[in-house]
Amino acid sequence: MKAKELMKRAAGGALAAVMVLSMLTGCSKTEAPKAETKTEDDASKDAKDSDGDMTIAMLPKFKGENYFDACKTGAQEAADELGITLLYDGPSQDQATNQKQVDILEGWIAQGVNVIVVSPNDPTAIAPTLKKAQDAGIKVVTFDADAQEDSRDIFVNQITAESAAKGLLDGAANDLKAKGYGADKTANIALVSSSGTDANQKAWEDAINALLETDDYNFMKIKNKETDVYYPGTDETKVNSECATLIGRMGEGEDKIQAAIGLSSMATPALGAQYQSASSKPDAKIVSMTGLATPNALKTYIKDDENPLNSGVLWNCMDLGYLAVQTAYQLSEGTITPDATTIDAGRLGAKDIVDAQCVLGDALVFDASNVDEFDY
Amino acid sequence: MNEKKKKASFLTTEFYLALFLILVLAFLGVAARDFYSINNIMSLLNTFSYILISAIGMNMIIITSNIDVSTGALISVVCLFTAAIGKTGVPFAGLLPAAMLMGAVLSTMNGLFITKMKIPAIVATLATTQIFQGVLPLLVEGSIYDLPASFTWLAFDAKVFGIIPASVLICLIVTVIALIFMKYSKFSKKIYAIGNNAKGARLAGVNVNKTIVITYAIAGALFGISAVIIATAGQRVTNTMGTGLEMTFIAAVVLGGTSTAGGSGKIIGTVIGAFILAMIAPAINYLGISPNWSDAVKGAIIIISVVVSGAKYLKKKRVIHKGSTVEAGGGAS
Repeated sequence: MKAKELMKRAAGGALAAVMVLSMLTGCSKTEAPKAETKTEDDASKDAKDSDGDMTIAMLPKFKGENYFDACKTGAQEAADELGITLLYDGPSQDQATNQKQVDILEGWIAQGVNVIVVSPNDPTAIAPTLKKAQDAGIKVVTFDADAQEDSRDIFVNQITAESAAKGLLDGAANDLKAKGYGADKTANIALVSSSGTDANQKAWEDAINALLETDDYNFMKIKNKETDVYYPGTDETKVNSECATLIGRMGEGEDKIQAAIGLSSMATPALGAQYQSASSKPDAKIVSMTGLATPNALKTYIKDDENPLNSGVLWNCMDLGYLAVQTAYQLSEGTITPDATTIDAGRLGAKDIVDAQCVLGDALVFDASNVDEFDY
Repeated sequence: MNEKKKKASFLTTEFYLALFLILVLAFLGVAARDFYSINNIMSLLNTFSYILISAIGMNMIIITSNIDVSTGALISVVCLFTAAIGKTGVPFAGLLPAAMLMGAVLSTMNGLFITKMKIPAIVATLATTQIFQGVLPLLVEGSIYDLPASFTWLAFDAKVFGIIPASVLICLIVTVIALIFMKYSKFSKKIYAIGNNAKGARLAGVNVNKTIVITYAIAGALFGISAVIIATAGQRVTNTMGTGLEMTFIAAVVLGGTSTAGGSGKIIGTVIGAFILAMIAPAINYLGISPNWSDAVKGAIIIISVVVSGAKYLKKKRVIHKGSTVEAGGGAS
């Protein structure tokens, strides 16, 4: 399996390189000549500096998932507002590896962009490349997921693990309470995580476990961490079949599961879909499902009264992209430094910066009443 | 001696596999009663269906002594293609033939690379894997969301007797046709002949290249059916729907007693192989073991099965030399 993966990557590299090149040349007229040669590059960089024109390059974990598409929309909005150029590129979804990200970064470093905004697939493996960028005088901002701390200037954090866990548990707890659970009637919950190595999911799981100890949430429990926390990885069919297995285990009683929480943007829609396709559905009046996903991915299930998936949790992705570009711009302009304590982020107002981390805010919980307001 | 031989022909790989399966199922009945809840059995059957349909196609390819490692990527492409059509409200009756056609076309490409350009199957399909994966981001940036109810009809609403997923019915039809086809059709005899000895088959008047291309086309149509079942499982289709599936299909075929060298292998073995693979992950979960073990268990079962059937084959060969030629011919039935 590993060797096969490797071969896939090697052969895919060439293809991706072609695609990246075509992306770069297609970006904008002023950018096109820069991608061609290095010597021209420096000249155009000088010209660019005298113009006061700034180029911010944004690298998501991968392109295509509408989560990052929404980030891009927000980023573009900020770029238009500030009158700067935004480059946006990333690996395709099935090739979301560190190596692919490094390839793209190398291109941008050679091109001499002003700031790199990145959501790393691997926080440590990407660090040397980010440091190389910093050595070349490029500011580095991470967003969505952090990199090794010394390899970036500021991390734009969408949410703290605590707020994410609270949002998810609130979604489940409120629904369960409405269905008659509480201190005198406990509920078993199950989590559907991602691959088990992802930094975000790990942090959220820990925060959820911590919150489950507190009085507000201790009527819910994870009975058996071996079997009730799923790690289906990122294969669509595997996520689907494991969610189907989980739904088969849901129902009333001590040995059944009453609430399922999806921790990845793949798992939560899979829960909704598998409930919909289950042959004998556990009664929606006694079970509950919620989780992390974009509103678009859950819309159908949330609006369906017979589906126990009634709410979803996320942060405002567009705002995340917006804040990331605002931070990048101000960092490059010198309006803020990594040890600043606050940033005036345009339409978002003032945001706090603590330990070189700028936090966007609390979780965004959406349900049938507001799911249509979001288009991502 | 004669009696012994009769006995031996009864104790086939399929027989041992079926025995193993029954033992495991009985064990689950005692150790994990809930495994037999309607929901679990039905979702297991749904997984089994799409694995088996593709595994039958893969089985045919492997019998010709070829292989296809591009199936996962091919299914991803067909899933997206189906979703793009389904988004416009085309019902299942339109999606299925469209997906089968698309699957057949893409798979025929594989067959042509292998036969016309004389590229070894593993290299050719490795290359097409890249092509399919490269085409995906061009086809669609990301995922197709918010698919209409007509698209998810198969998974959400189509239940035979209100309980059995319709995918199981499709699978049943495909399997019965495949069983009859592989046993009685002239074409299947050609497939086995090519797998046993391509040169010999050519000398006997079989158009080897044409047969291989048609085999890939048929397999591609079957991959297309699986793709529809996979794609319609939810109202969102991403470009990683089929990732990694090719290995599951190949595993089901190998587990079912088909030799990777080609020339032998029965559909019924593939059926049992696919069922075992579909069963392991939920079984492990219901037994209270961490799901992380499921891949390791799958691997172990495949190795044991291949070693056991390999040992049996060697033994047979040693006892009666004449018997092995009979066996090879017998593989076609």
